[in-house]
Amino acid sequence: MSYIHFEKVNKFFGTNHVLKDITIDIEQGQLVSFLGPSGCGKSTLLRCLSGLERVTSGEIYLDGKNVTDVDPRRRGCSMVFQQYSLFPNLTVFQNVAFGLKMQKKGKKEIETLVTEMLETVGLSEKRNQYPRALSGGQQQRVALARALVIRPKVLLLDEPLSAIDALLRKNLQIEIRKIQKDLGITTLFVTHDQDEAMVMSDNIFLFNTGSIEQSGTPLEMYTMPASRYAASFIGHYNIIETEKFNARTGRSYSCKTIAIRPEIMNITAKRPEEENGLIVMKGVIENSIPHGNIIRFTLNMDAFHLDVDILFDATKVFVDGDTVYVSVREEDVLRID
Amino acid sequence: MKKRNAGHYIVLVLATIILVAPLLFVLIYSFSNGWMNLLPSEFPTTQYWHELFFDSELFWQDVGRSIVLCIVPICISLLSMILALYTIVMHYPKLDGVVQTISMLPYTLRGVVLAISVLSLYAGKGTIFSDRIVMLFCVYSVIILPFVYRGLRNNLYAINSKQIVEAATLLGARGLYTFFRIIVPSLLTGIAVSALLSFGAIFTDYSIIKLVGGNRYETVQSFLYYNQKSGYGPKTASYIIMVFIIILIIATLSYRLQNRTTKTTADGK
Amino acid sequence: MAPTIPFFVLSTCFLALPFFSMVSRSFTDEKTGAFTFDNYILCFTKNSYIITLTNSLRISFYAVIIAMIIAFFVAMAVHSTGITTRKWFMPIMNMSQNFAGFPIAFAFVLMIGKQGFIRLALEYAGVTALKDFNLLTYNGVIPIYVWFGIPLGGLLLLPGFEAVRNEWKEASVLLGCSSVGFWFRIGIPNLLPTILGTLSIVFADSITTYTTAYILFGGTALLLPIRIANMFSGDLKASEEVGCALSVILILIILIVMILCNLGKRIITKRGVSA
Repeated sequence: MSYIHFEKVNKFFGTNHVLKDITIDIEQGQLVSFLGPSGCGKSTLLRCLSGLERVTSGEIYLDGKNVTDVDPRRRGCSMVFQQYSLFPNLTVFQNVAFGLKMQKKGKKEIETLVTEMLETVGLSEKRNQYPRALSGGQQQRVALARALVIRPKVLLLDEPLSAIDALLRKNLQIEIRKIQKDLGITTLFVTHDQDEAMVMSDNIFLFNTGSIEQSGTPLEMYTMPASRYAASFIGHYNIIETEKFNARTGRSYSCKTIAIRPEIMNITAKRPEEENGLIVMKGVIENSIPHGNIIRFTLNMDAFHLDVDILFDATKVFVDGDTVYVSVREEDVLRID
Repeated sequence: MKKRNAGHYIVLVLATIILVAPLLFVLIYSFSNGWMNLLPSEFPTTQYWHELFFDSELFWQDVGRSIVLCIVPICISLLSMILALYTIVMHYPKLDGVVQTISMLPYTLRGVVLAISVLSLYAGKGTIFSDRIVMLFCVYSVIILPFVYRGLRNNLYAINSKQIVEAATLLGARGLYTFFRIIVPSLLTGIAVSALLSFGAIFTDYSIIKLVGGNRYETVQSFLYYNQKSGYGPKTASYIIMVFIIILIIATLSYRLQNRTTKTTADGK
Repeated sequence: MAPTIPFFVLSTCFLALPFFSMVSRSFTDEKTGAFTFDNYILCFTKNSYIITLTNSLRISFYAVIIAMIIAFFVAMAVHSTGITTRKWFMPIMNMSQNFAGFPIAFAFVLMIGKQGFIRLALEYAGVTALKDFNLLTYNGVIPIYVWFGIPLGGLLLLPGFEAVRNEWKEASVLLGCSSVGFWFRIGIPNLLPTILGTLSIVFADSITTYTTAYILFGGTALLLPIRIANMFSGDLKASEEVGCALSVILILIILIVMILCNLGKRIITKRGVSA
């Protein structure tokens, strides 16, 4: 059996069915993301594993044991919350030492372990400060240290970075991933940010209203979304009704929806030469927005709109109203039902 | 989780019994003809309530006098506070702390102490402040300053009055016009809440009316005092409940208004 | 500046001037008008004044301690059982606050006074717990003082409980801490500023209680607010100067409690807890 195993887990809040028959496996040492919009059940599943929520039915196995009815104090899960979870009346050191104290560890051992852990998260010099004196990013690193220092079987991260500003968030993503790899600790990460999930995870579980929509490695998820929902949540797929796409291109796809990633298409001022497997459409530039080193053009294709990302290139500066040709290879056109 | 809540519910039920029981018993008593035994006698009888509504002119006169006694101090206090706070918010924001400290002082000085300090300074001196009614009005105006300050200040900041006035000025409105046509109307909830809270405080006061007013001015509280002094009968119980109902109506009104204010403020954010 | 004049006139004439005149009168000899400490010395040496002071302090001390403990658990219960509880319980607390004064004295006499029906009921049942209890003594009134301290304390403590975040509880559980342990290590330390602030207000409210005491004991009661009032009006009209001294002492008692609480608050706040 895998390290963590959820078996037909169901959870109701009143009449609200928030987790529907969830069965998944997670391997030891991995970082796994639960991705989805708010209210899709991802946090609830995490809290069920920690024991903060009881499952309505189903079973949870951790490290070979059935922990469904085990007290949250004895499950060996640590959690980092969204924010405000540090104890304000304790210093950084005391916060990190809290869990070890509960385990009745000796003073010396606590001192060594906490000092080491504070070094790992780079906050040694703040050890005697109170949480109030720290920035949001520093507070979350203390929370991480507090969770890690007790050597939990699983580290649970419940949107730990969503209250932190963008630049710092990028750094912390990398930092958390590095610490996780160094310690080899199994980690579940809840997020609604697909970029964050891509950057950090070994595996992603995409949630949709209480069920798992799709799972796989970041690359699999990105290149092969299995449904319209997955395509709309991951990447920035252009999602087009097949009828309209067929009408524009003269193809005869029979699926329901067509999905095309914006960066896989090309724009040219002249019609490119006919080529086997190349689909060419005529459209009018409606809008263009620079995004760092790429430009995103929005094209009017009469029945639908198309977003196309082009690497910034001085020879390819189109202005609004220009008529252009969009080309895409057949194998890059995803057919979804 | 369920198990731990059981203890909390026991606490709540006990607390509810402790808090509601006195009220409930007085209410039951007012519908009886005495309670010298295990159960109230002749329960239920509406005899005393009938008397209260149809044969207690004095009581209703005192209710009226109490209400009159509330209105004047509330007007004095509100008016002086609006003028002061508005000027300070607009022109001397640093003075806000001073006004706040002054307004909160009656909390520490409390009714009795404030009343006797005023008495000892002005009583029998023949100045305008020595008139007992003037004294009563002014002491009450001061006693309610904390309520008036709180209600108005929050409201004044919530409506962002400084920017409103600046905008109005740029649109060509003159100071007084802006004040009466824009500021005062938008302060109405704050004014109402302050007024109702103050009303409750004055309406239930006995210490100040006793000390400052002596026997010269009878209010509903002194009415209750004399009634209770002459015996703990069901009749007194009905008066007590009636006064309580009046206060309750006022408290509910202010509670509703307060909730509405916080809601609109929250939406504004 | 002109619009602020009414406010400052009002607060000067009916707050500042009376206060200072009271303080200065408390240091004035009644007959000669000279400066003296005699009024204060009298307050602390004459037996009836000493009894008055200790009565007031004792009643308020016990009442506040008991009321605060009950209010603490009540606020905790309201907080822990969620929003529906708030909806029905808050009005009860607000309502009972308005029952203070004559009504509550009346109700207590009705319930556990000499002829109180609860007392009678207990006698029928053969329970003797209330046999030696007399509501109309300086210890007997403590239940009434406790009673109106509960809703006041509860209402003031509740915001403090609301500030104890759920995340703290959950984090402590996952780190292996019990519920009781949580309240001792995290909950109460973070609530202390609120508890101290509430304590000083409930105390001030209790020690200045006039109406309830007056209806139960009349004007001769040996309690501070009634004694003070009596120096100026009423049956035993005595020295106004001593009355001023007693008032200053009452204010000082309230201030000392307040300052002590604030001091405690500041120490705790320095150690990370937000006020």
